Amino acid sequence: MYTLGISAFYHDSAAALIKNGKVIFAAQEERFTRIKGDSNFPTNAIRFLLTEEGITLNDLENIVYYDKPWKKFERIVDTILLTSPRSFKQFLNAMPSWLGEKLYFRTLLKKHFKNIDPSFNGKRVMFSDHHFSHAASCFYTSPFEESAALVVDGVGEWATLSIYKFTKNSHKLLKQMNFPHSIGILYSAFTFYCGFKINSGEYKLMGLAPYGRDKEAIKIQEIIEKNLFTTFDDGSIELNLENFEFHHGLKTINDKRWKELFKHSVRSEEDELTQFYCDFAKASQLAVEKILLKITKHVKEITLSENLCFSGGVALNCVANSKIKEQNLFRNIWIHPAPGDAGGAIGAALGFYFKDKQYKKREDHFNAYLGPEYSDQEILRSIKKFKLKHNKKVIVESIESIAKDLAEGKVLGWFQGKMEWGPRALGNRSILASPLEQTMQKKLNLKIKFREGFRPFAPITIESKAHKYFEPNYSNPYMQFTQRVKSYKKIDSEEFKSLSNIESDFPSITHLDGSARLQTVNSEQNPLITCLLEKFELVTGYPILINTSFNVRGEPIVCSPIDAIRCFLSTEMDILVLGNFILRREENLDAITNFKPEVFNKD
Amino acid sequence: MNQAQLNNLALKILLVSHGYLLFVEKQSFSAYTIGLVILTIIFSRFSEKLNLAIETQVKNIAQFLLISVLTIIYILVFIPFSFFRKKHLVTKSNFTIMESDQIQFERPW
Repeated sequence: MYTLGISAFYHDSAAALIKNGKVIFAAQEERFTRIKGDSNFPTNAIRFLLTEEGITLNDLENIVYYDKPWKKFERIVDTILLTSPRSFKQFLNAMPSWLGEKLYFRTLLKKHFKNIDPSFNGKRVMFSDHHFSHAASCFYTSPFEESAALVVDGVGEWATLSIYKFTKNSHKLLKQMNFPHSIGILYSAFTFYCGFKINSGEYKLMGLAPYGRDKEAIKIQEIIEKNLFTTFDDGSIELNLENFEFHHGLKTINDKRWKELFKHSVRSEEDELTQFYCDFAKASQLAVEKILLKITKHVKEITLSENLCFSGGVALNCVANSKIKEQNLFRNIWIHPAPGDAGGAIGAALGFYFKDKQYKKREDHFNAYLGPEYSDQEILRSIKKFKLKHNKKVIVESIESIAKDLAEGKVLGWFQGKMEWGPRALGNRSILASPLEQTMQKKLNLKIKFREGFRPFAPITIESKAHKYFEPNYSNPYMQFTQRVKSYKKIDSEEFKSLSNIESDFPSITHLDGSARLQTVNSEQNPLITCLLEKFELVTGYPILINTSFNVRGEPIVCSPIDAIRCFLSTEMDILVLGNFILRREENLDAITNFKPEVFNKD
Repeated sequence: MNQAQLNNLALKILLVSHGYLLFVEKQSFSAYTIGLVILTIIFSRFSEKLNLAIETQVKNIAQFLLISVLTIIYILVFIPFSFFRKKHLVTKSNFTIMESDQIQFERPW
């Protein structure tokens, strides 16, 4: 029995295929179209799922869309009414697309399905609820048979925060916070104020926070909490809407008011990143963490559960997730690898499947490798297309020499097996490097990824050995939490904070506050990269590597061998390992010199 | 060769053959044909631009009409109705108690 789940038309479109309650394939549309956060209907992703499984659209038992479009329309109309006449611009902006297509949603979806397969028999599409899709994506992939589920994001239909209780037979929506009062939008407003793009720059704000100074951040946090919102005892918030414009206009915040409050104007992307914005980033992170800690306390009080499933875009804030975990209110916390809108595709399908069935908890880890995989022939065809020199050897036999290359400070593009599901590279579409070198962070940011110099890199290590180098000790297979680097020492300095102010055995993966966004891996989840880590340990004494997504700034993570080769040719990467093929920079200098790199919009 | 190139070639053949008839054979009616061909060539060169210009104008007019209709709706419907909408007052909590355990999958609302 096949169920197809879709999320589309807002951001991060994706599709997922469920077979008898198990996710067998899932992918985001951006990986195929090469447009970051692509919101178009996931035509390519659906084609991939169907081709891999060898079925057609007519073989699907059910198709489930991840939210309820009419409810969303109702919210838009209601908000326009409430904020009239200031909402005139928003009204003119929103109405044409709604009246033109979005209200006739079934017809719109059918048109897209017919485009994929003209013989599509017009199966009736089902509609889940936005926050239920998030919650279901988390619970029905979790190792629990009973759990509280917390969903926090920008906005779904009406809800901006939902608290559910799931059991193996049922679910219950207990409480909900509604638009316009939203923690997700609040964090996006902070992101916008600091000059980053909404829906993609939030993780930059999180990465910038440790550069903030404690005293100054606390002062800013006080201004934020006094003027931008009110928090209640149960963690719910009420935004002071005079300072925002997202609910009636085309901008997120009231620039003038924010300038009056913080004595600094909205930073534009090109502006220098001054110490004030670092302090502001820290203050905003602290403010959001404080709200989330209150909310999780309330979730515990009303659900009395030992387990928590946390989802929605805000669940990508791994620093806040760690604070929630350290609170020890819940014995177990589960966060799906794609807690954002893409994950809604899985949740919609699983939620529909289990509506009248019993969920049996997973004994194994959820498999996050759900995307396309390429054969040796397909890889070779791509290499030949670019006329590149290469060596072919069974990858397991090359691992020792690859580990030695990494130990020598070389940067490696690592392309193996099935593509990961979710926004993070989990060792199949990764750029790998040694974390032992002080200069590696700068080299990777400026010469490989072409991104801002302040941004940290994440480590990957073997699950059973993580406790030697990181604390607290727990498995973290999807990089959803940050852990502390044991060897971290802070050097006090009055000067502008920089990564040279720290001491650590792994300077390139240790953030300024001593944290690292660790991925733990074992041979069951990913045998190849586990083996590489073991070999790297034999050479250097440490089973830890830098693991960053295989892409450049503004580009989605590579999907196909062609994407990987393009990325290799346009950066200063030393080696590219494509399945069983190894390509070296020094052997392909001509091709690299003659290659015209693709230009991506900076995120 | 695409259709446009074929048409162009046909016009050139017409031009050459009727040029011969006019100047060598002194057939005066060929002057009308030559004039017609020249007009057709000129028109075909500008027809694409003309099409585009008409399309843009129609689009602009349609957009203007849409904005006008939406503006009228906003003034006549949204603004008056907004007086009846009451702002939600929050006192001790901004949570709404839901207690619902069903999702109506069949409906888009």
